Amino acid sequence: MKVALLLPDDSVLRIGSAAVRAALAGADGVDLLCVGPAAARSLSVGEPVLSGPTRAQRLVAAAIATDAEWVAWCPPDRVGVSARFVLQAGIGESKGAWFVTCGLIGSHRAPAGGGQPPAELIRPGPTSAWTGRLDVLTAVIRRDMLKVLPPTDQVGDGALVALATRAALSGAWLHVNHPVAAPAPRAADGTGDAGLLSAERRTALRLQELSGGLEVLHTSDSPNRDQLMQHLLPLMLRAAEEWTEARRALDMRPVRPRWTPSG
Amino acid sequence: MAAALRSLLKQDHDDLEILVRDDHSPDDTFGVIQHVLRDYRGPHHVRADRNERNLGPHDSAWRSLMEATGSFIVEAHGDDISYPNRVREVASLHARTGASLVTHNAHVGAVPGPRNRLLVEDAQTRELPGRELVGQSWSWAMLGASFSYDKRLWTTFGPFDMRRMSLAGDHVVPARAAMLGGCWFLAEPLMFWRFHSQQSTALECGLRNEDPDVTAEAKGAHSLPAQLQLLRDLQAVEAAEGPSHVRDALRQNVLVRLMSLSGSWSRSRTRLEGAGLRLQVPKGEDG
Repeated sequence: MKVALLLPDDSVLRIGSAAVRAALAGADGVDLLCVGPAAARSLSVGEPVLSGPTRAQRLVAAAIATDAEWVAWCPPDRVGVSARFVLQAGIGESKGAWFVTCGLIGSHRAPAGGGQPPAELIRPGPTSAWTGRLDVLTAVIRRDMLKVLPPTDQVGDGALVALATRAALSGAWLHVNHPVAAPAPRAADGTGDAGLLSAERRTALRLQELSGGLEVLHTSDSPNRDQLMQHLLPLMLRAAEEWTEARRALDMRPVRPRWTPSG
Repeated sequence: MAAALRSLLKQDHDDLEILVRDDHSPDDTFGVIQHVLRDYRGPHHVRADRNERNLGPHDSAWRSLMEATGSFIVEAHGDDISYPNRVREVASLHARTGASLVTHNAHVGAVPGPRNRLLVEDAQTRELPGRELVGQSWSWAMLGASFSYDKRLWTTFGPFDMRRMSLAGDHVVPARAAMLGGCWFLAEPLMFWRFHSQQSTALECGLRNEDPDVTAEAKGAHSLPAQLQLLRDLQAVEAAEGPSHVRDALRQNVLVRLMSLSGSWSRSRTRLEGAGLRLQVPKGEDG
């Protein structure tokens, strides 16, 4: 069984190429595919795949272009996690599922310094484990499903969570209660303007993730819909509260932030 | 400002209490107010105050609201001209319908004149149902400058928390009214509403930007808090009065609107970030 592990630029830039190499040391048999030029350059692995205007679209295009049966994404700070997962989670036993996750749900709240996520955050079963967090992107997905699923007009992380939601709705999500190493703790937000901007961006990402999933749920007639909705809606409302407060804190500054080129 | 104030002094409603408040303006606004009122000998009871510091429009208006002795309040902004029958007409509709909020039509332009257009063309006086107020985007029938309300509309829910809310009071107040005695729109134009392309609040908040994604993203930043506020409001009313079918239906409308808003906001934001833009304080302006 062939597995492709997709590495976007930000994954590599965030944790550094040495850490990526170390994490992948035990991942023999996994095709590594760099989706951005920085990843390809720092790892010296083939030509980068660049297709599509957004990160998510580039990832999907790259995944479809492989000849692997399963594909895995590497969120920015999860390279090691995903690589181990591909080897350990037992894709071969997926029994009809096309979306498989492992026991890392809730890992954003993992103890500082890494280590095992709290036991209560590791739950079996696709729907009860579904928190809508980006953590589900420690997932592997059957490549052929990427080709046949109706496209979502969500982009970015919302598109990936929309994919996970579709898997949950169709009952094709296998969650393996198999804890793996928690990701590195995220950097503190800092203080002042940098802290406010960082908090706004972090909370916005969370809301974007959940928006992607909820839009899929809203238009679904699956029997699993109500259960998932009850699970996700309170999370979405809390995320929306957190983002609006973070954004308001920025907007109340004497000089409002504006959308300007980064760097 | 002087013209706006004089239009209030000319109201033909009996027994009117007029509370004028200057929010610590840096110019001579309070001097203008004092000058206009100095020679007033009409029937209305008039009081003018100046805040000791700038409170912002919401908190400043809240202070006047708490000092008002009447049970029905008509808002009048500093650059709009009320027609003489404005207060009488809205108070009459409130008395007939029991509406918690009355909004009304207006003439719109940069300066008063015969060519000004109507705020709402082909308007009809009607109740604005809750599903309309929360199920669709903001409409001109919800213009805050035309608000008149039962004081209980505010005492029931309390003031807005400005750490959470921005311009979106116009979205929330009509829906709050629908939770209580209803929201009515009066078709007759009852004021001149000053509007021009450089309206500062909209520009400052990015709500009129050349890039449609910047505008859409800013719209999310202003509209999502309003929907969240409505959910809190529904919870507060239910805690006091128990559940009702009307409020259940309203909640569903709010949730659907929240999902729709967050979806379109998310797409706009991702497109901006995909284009290499970041929300940041421009260099050189960060103090």
